[in-house]
Amino acid sequence: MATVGLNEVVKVYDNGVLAVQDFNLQIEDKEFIILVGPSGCGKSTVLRMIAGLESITEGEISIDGKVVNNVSAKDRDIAMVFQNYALYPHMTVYDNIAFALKMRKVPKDEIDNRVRHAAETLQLTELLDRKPKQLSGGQRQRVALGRAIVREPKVFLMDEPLSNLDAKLRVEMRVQITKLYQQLQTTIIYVTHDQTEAMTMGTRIVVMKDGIVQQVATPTDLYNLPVNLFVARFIGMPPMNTIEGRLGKDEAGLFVCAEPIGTDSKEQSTHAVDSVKLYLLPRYETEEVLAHLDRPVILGIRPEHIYMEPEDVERYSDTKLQVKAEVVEMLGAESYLYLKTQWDSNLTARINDQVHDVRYDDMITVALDPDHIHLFDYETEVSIIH
Amino acid sequence: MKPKRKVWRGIVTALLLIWTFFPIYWMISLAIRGNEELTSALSFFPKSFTFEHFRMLFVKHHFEQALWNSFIVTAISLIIALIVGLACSYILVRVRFRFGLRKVSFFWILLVRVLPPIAFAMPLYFIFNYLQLSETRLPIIVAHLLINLPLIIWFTMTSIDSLAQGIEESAQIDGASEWQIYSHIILPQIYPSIAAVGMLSFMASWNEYLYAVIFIQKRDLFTLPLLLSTMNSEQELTQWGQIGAGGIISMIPVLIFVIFAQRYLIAGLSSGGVKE
Repeated sequence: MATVGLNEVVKVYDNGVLAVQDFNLQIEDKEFIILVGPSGCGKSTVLRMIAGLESITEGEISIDGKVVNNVSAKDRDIAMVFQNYALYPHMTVYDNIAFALKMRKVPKDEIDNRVRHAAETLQLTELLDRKPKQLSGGQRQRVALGRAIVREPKVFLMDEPLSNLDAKLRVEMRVQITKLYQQLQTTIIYVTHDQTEAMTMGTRIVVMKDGIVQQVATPTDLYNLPVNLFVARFIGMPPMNTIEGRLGKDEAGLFVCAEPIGTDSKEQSTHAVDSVKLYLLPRYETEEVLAHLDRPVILGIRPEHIYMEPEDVERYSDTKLQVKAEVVEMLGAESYLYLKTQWDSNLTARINDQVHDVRYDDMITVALDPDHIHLFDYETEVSIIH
Repeated sequence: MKPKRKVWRGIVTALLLIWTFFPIYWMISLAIRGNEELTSALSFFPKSFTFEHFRMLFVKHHFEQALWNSFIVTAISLIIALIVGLACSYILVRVRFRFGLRKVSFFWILLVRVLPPIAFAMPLYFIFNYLQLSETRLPIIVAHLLINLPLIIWFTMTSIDSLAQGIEESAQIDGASEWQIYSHIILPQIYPSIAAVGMLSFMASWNEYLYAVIFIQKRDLFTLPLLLSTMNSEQELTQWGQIGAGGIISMIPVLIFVIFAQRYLIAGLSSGGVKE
C-alpha cells in the first residue's frame, strides 16, 4: 500500500560491472509492476536494491515518498518472495510464516490469527506442521507467498517466483498470484524473464536490457506500440517477424524493398531473386518516415498478422509474399507455420485454425496485414512506424 | 551376497569388535577383582568379585574432587570455546574481509591446532606464573580452549559456508537483526555439526593429560587423567584395580554427553529450504 520511486538509480558492482544505468520509475499505489528482460539485464539487481539487499551506487530509491537509500532491509517494511523459496528449513510451515511477526513482537494471539488466515488463503492449513523438506515445489512456493502476505507489507517484491516450478504448476500459480493481487490490493514489483508472465499479470511492464530501461508501458501498449526492435521481439510469442529491406517510394506509394542488409555482395548475388516490394499504407507518408527514404530499415510483423486465406491475400495484394512452408505446428485451436522467404529469411505465421493442407516445401502466398506493420531504423533499431 | 563373502565379513567384524572391546573388558575385569588376584598371574575371567576398588577411590583418593575438577574445566572451556568459536566462524564466513585477511586469520587459527601442544605449554606456563595464576584453574581452561577453538572454528565454518545465503536475506527482510539471524536462523541449521564438534571437544578436554600435568600443581585441582596417573607412581605399588575402577567412572560422563549430543546428529537438518 505504497508508492515506490526510483530516481536516476545506478548500480556498479565492486568488480566494476555496471548492472543498472539511470533507472527512473514512479510506481503508483496498488500497481502490479513487472520488470522483465533477458538474464543479466539488471532486473533482479533493481529489485534487490529496492529490498535493501544491495547498496545503491547512485540515485535515490523512495518508498511512500521517503528516501530509503540508507534504511536497512529489515526496516523498509517490504516482503520478498525468492526464486529458490528461501524457507527456513528447520522451522515448520507455521513458524516460517510466523517468523516475521515474531521478529516484530506482534502479540501471540494475533500471530496465530494472521498465520491461519494466510494459510487459508493459500490452502496451506493442512501443511502447517510440516517442515519445508516434506513439501513439494508448489507447496514451498505457496509457503514463501504466505510468509510475505502475512506481513501486510507496504510493497511486495517477487524475484522470479515461478521459474522453479514445472509448466503446469506455473500457470496455476500465475493465476493464484493474480487473484492474490486483486484480493490484497497492494503494490507488487515482480521480476521475471518470462514474457508470458509479464503480459498476463502486470498492470505496467518495464522492459530492461543491459541495465537500461527500454520501455515502460501497459501490456497492450507494449505489444502494439513497441518503441524499438528489442521490445518488439522480446514481447510476444512466437516473437515478431522481421524483414530487412530498404525504404523506397514510387507512384504507388511508400514501400519496403525486402532484401538482406549487411551481408556482403558476393553472397547476395548467389541469392539473386526478384525484389519484393511491400507497400505501406498512405497514412504513413509523414515527414518522419520519409526521412528514412532509401535507407535500410527493418519491417516487423507479428505472426498473427500474416494471412494465408486466398481472400485475405487478394485483399492485401500490396503486401503479398511467396514463401516456402518448412514446418507446420498444429496446436489445436491454432497453428504455427514456419516459413522461408525467397531471400532465405524465416517467418512465422499464426493461423487461427487447424492447417491441414500445407506440406513441407509447398510454395504458398501469404499477405502481411498493412495495418499492423512496424518499421524500425536499421541502425538504431528505434521504431519508425507502429 | 555369496555365502563365502558373508562369512568373511562376519569374521572381520568380529575381530574388530574384539579389538575395540577387549581393553574395556579388561578394565572392567581388573576393577572388580580382589586385590589378591591382582598381584598374582592374571586369569582371563575374574575369580573373585569386589567393589572395594571403587570404595577406595573415594575414600583414599578423593575421586569426587577430581570428577568435579574435570567437569568444571571441561564444561567451562567447552562453553567458552563454542560461544567464541561459533561467532568466529560466522564472522569469518559472512563478513567481508579486505586484503585476504580471511585466509590469514584462518591459517593462524589452524596453526594452533597443527603445532605440537607442548610448544604452547612453556610460554603459557611463564605467563601464568608471572600473573600468579598458576594456583588456579584458569591456565588449564585456557589451555583447553587452545585445543578446542581451532577445531570448532574449522568444523563449523564449512557448515555455515554451505548454508544457502538466500535464507539469511529472507530473514533480513522479515525483520530479523544480525543477532537474530545468527541465533534463530544460522545456529539451528548447523546443530548437527555443533553436536559433532561438541562431542569431539568434550572428549579432548575430558581426557587431556599433557597440559594438566604442566599447569596443575595443587592436588585438590587435579583432573581425572592426572589423578589416575598418580596411582601408577613409583612410590607405591601400582593400584591396577583402582585405576580400572577410575577408568570406568570417568567413561560415564563422556557416554552421557555423547548420548545427549547424538540426538542432534541428524543429517539433512538444513535441507529443503531452497531449491537446489
